[in-house]
Amino acid sequence: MELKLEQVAGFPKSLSEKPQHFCPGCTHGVNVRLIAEAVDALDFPKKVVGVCGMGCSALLPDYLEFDMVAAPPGLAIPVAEGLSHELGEKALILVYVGEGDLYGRGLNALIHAAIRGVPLTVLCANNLNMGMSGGHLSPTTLLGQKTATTPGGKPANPYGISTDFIRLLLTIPGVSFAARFRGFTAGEIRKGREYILRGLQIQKFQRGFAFVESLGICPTNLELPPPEAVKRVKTATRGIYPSGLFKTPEVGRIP
Amino acid sequence: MDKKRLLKGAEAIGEAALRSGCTRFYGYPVPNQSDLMEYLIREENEGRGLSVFQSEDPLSGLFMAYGATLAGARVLTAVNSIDIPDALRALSYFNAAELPLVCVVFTQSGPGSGNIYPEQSDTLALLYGARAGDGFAPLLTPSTPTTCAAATYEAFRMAETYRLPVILLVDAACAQLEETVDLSAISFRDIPKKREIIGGQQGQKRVSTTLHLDIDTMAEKKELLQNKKALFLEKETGTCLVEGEGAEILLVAYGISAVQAKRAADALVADQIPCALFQPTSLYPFPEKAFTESLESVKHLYVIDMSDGQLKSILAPYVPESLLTHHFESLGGSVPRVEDLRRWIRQTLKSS
Ligand code: SF4
Repeated sequence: MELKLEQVAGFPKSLSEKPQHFCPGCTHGVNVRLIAEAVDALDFPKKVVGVCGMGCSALLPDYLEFDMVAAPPGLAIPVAEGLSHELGEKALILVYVGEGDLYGRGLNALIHAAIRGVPLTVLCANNLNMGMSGGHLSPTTLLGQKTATTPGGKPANPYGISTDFIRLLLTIPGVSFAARFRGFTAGEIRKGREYILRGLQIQKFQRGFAFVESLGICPTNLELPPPEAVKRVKTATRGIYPSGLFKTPEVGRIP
Repeated sequence: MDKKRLLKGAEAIGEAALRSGCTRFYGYPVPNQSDLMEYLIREENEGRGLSVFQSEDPLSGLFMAYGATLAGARVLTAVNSIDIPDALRALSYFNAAELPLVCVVFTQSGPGSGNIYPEQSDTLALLYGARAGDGFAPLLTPSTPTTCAAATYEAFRMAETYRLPVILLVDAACAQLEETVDLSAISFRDIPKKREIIGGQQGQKRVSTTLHLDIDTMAEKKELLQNKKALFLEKETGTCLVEGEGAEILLVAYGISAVQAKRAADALVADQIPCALFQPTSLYPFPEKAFTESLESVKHLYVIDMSDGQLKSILAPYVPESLLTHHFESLGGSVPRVEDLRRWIRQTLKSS
């Protein structure tokens, strides 16, 4: 009898073997691996170009084995859009940016690229604070959350109530795909890879703006051991940053 | 294609960009910039191989230009005085990533929102601003539609040859000035691309980053850039137009001020007052040798400028202080009037 072997796990081809600089337990490491696995799983040959923003994601070019551009803070989306104008169908463009960068100084560009339905696959690493800068307030910081700039916990006045940016993006017709997963629970990590892969597959035919958010933890700035950080973020974000699939090109808005 | 065309300064830049192999334009509607963008959209519709994109704001446009250039495009972009800080931010990144860009800066009256009329009060901001992080950007200063076209080709040649951003400084009057431009008089030779492209060949991994956390790596990067600057300054010595020779009176001006200074000089020559005009068409590099040569017989130097002494301070390193006493400034958005210049020069000559 012939034994048929199928590889079910291994080191992703698109992941470099360089040691990563992320703090222990950080979700960035998970996200980078998911990106690599999703790119490996593409069932059509296509050049992939990655664009990363500033902050803890800025060293991504070292970790991924395809063309990479490190963009200035707040400007990953315009850089990716320019690349997309020039490369068109020749490449899939994947953007990886933290929420401090993307929803803060990068928000205007994000909204306009979404309105234009630019064929980009954007993965936002939302860890509720600006990690690399030293744990400062970010656009998704939760009410009462302690950060370097809100040491007494984030107050509603003057910083406002936490906002789900995916809900904002869902109002834009140019967004063809939107999903969120929690990068710290096993089941959702698998879904996360699915989402990134689908986001990329949509670009095979340049079908518009695909957006995935990975809700994550920054144990260093939460000043908690990773398991504690997971517990804390899981409870504190419940109902505020829900995970799931919200929009696909086939179905549209998923109720 | 017709060789002689009636063009505004802004349009001449667009036409010359097309002939210099420019493939993309990014812009945001602001005074003068719009004339350039609208011209290019008309030409795009004629199928001349250039794509125009109007961005949501100037900063996004500048960094779309960055992305497109990384992927191989030859890009022209333009901003107005008010958006110079955005342009300088982009120039720093183009410098660091060693990417070519031609950025037109249309200048108007400032500070603040000022008005849309011409001034030359952003020149030092550009000269020094481009040096952020020890970067550098050639600064070309054409004055008429014809010189705008020639400077545009020069800008693309430098940008692509040295892989750096080049600034084309054009005041609002020069942008709107119309004349018949003989395009056949400018030689638009092929400008070869010598750069790696992101998203190009299969298989090879290419990376573009301007972040170098390691001090030694950053120091190496700086050394490369310093060497490039040295090579650039060795090969490119600056350009100028000189009219009249051996005169004791020399007028110095650039941009629209030079157009007016030329008319004033012609009027003075007609008045039997022999004078010459020195017009730098690049301020970085500054045509130092040509300037010092043209100073040889000069006893009276007249600096004509639409700023609070900015041209004077640019000239200061090359001129004995005793010569640098006459400065005509026209501020608030008005161009120096020929009659005023003529009267001013005659009066100062009489009293000296
Ligand atoms: S600072 Fe936070 S986000 Fe950055 S690597 Fe460390 S844990 Fe991750």
